[in-house]
Amino acid sequence: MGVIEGLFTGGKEFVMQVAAAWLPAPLLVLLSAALSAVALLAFAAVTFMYLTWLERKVAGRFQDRYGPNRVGPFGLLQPIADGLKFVMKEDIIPVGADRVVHELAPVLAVTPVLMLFLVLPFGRGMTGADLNVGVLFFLGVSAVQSPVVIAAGMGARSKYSVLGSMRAAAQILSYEIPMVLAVLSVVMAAGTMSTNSIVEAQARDGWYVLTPWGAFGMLVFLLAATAESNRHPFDMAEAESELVAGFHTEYSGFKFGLFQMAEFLGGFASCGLAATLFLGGWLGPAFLPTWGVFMIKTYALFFVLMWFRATLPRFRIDQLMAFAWLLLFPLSLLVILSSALWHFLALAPALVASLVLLGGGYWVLSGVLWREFERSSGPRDVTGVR
Amino acid sequence: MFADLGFVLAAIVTLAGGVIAVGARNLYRSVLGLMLSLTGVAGLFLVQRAEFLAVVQVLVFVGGVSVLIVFALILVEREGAAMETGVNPGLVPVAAIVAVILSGSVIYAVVRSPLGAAPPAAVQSRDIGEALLNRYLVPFEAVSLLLLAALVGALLIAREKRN
Repeated sequence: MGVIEGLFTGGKEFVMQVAAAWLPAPLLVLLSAALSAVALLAFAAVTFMYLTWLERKVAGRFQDRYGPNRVGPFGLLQPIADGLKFVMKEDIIPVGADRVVHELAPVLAVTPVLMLFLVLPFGRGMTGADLNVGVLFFLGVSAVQSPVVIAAGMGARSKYSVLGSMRAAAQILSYEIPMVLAVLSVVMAAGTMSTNSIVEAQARDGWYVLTPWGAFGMLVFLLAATAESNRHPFDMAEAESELVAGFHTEYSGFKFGLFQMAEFLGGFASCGLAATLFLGGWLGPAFLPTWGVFMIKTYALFFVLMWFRATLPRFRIDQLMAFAWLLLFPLSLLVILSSALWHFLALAPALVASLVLLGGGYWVLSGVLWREFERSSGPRDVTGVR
Repeated sequence: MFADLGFVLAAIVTLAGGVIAVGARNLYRSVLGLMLSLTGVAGLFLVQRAEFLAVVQVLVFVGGVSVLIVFALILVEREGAAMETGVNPGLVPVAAIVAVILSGSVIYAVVRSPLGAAPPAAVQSRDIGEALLNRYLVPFEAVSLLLLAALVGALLIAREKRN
């Protein structure tokens, strides 16, 4: 049991001990960082490859078909074939494009997403960098997405790209607020912003999702995070029936692959953070290694996102903005309030107060949202300008 | 050693971004240069072990403010007109005076500050929170009121234009 648990931490320790005999101390610091970084990068690349496979398989099952099953057993080699196809495709740069920005944008899209994995606590003692502002680091780095999306759209100077990037940036900015506020409730309860300490605080308090504010907070966070990573049903940025492919219309081959990688890994990392904040991270039954527990929770959440994608129709852009501002934003404020009440009141009054607050709040807000949807239904201008 | 290396890298990024922001003829490139420069500033904070400030710098300025600048650019852009910057000859003396005053005061502040003193301990976000909500509560609230007023004012101007 201990062997499996310590597979990664022990492996790194072993390499470090061997290296300690050969290398001077300053280089050892570099080696330690490099080992963690290489492990995270390899993990991210493999995860991306098989998330695309898994997503297509799961979507296939939902729609009563097989999904990829031609390349290798169960289609397992499909991601490799896709990767080869990406590399071999023609690299098209539009005539009017700003070349530097156009070439740079896909790289800039992937880099911050890879940095997200730095602060996720994959298991006991398995945080790449246990920053004391870990959660904030995650939010800050994922906020870099919106300028990158804009750069991608503007660099191509194509109508579809520009419209798509405007929508995406507006969407990311709007959903960032409820996401940050939902995270804030957990930070208040745990009294720390380090991801690892938040997991340890849940060993003391119990999983936060089991409290009323935690359940609503997780709902808000997961929806906002789905929108942040431009995933279905919030993928307005690339609504192909309206905008061809949104901000990455003009990208082909490997550069498009990089955008797809950013989208998948961004969604996956958000699921990892949701598991950390609300589902107790790597806390679980003792017969499983801590990193296994974390992975199960993260994949379970990602399965929910795939479920969304396979079953829900897409939002319209004005409904999408109304959903963020009329429902998620006020609801996240109520989550913060009831998180504070939970901290200061005794169990019974806190339970009553937060159920009244959150349940009543949800009832009122969803009524408001529903009226807005009904008011705005029927044919209308859907360019996003109101 | 690594900290010095980090400082040099962050300083180069900051300055290079600044040069792009000022020198680029295309306005969008200017904004991208500004983002690069702001990211470099975040790196400088990181070297000083002010992690909280570094992250907030990225969150607010790179992820928020510069995106708003791009939105503003798109809103004022005319159909077909290129978004290009140029030099306005009439304003060169004014710019020179402002540059001299600004760089002079920055240099003065750097010379006067106790450089070479003990490096600051890592700033905890707890300290920042306590400073903002206890010692500097009144200025903090005053600034937020100012921002709110600016926000309402901007909304008012935008609405009048539309009708």
